[in-house]
Amino acid sequence: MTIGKNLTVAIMDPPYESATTATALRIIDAALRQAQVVTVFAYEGAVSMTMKAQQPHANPVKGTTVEQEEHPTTKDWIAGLFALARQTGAKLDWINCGLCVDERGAGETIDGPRRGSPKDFFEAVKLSDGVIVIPTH
Amino acid sequence: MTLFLVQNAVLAAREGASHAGGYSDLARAGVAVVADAFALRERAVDRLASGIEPSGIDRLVSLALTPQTRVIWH
Repeated sequence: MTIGKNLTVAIMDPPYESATTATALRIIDAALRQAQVVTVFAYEGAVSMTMKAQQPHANPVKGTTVEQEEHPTTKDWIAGLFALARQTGAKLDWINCGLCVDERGAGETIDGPRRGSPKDFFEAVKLSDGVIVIPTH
Repeated sequence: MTLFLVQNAVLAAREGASHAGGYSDLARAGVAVVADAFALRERAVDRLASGIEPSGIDRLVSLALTPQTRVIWH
């Protein structure tokens, strides 16, 4: 961990739609190993990434069970990022846009994320050494 | 300047790809052209055009934390 370095990442893609989700989570993983504070601002569909009700599923086409399928969920990946932060001593501040959450009914989350607004993103950017904004396309 | 290729962008960096020469030209002009090693492995790309360097995503984070650096996601 690099003492004093703060990184802010804004993400907007919903889960299970594009490769960008995995790339963004890999960036956050790498950041937690380098930075002291990593702020994630989840906007628009990205707020669904932390929904607690996500469940892995079997694959009836292939005939595989839930266990065999090992279907990943973004909520588990993000829970893993919070666990990593505890290990490295970094702070992961995951902010879900509140209005985006309300629109999608995505308020029931795993432990860790908090509700916020674009103002929180703006404040985090002011304190950051680096900013990565990953827009939808 | 660094051009960091992720996801499907790495496909064009493959040796012999029709547009790979453009990346090589950028490298010759002094732009660091980097391809995400994870994305390369996912797509079985093991040979890159000249001037393109594979690297972990941690390098992208290091660059983002470098003073006077701006990240533009395209």
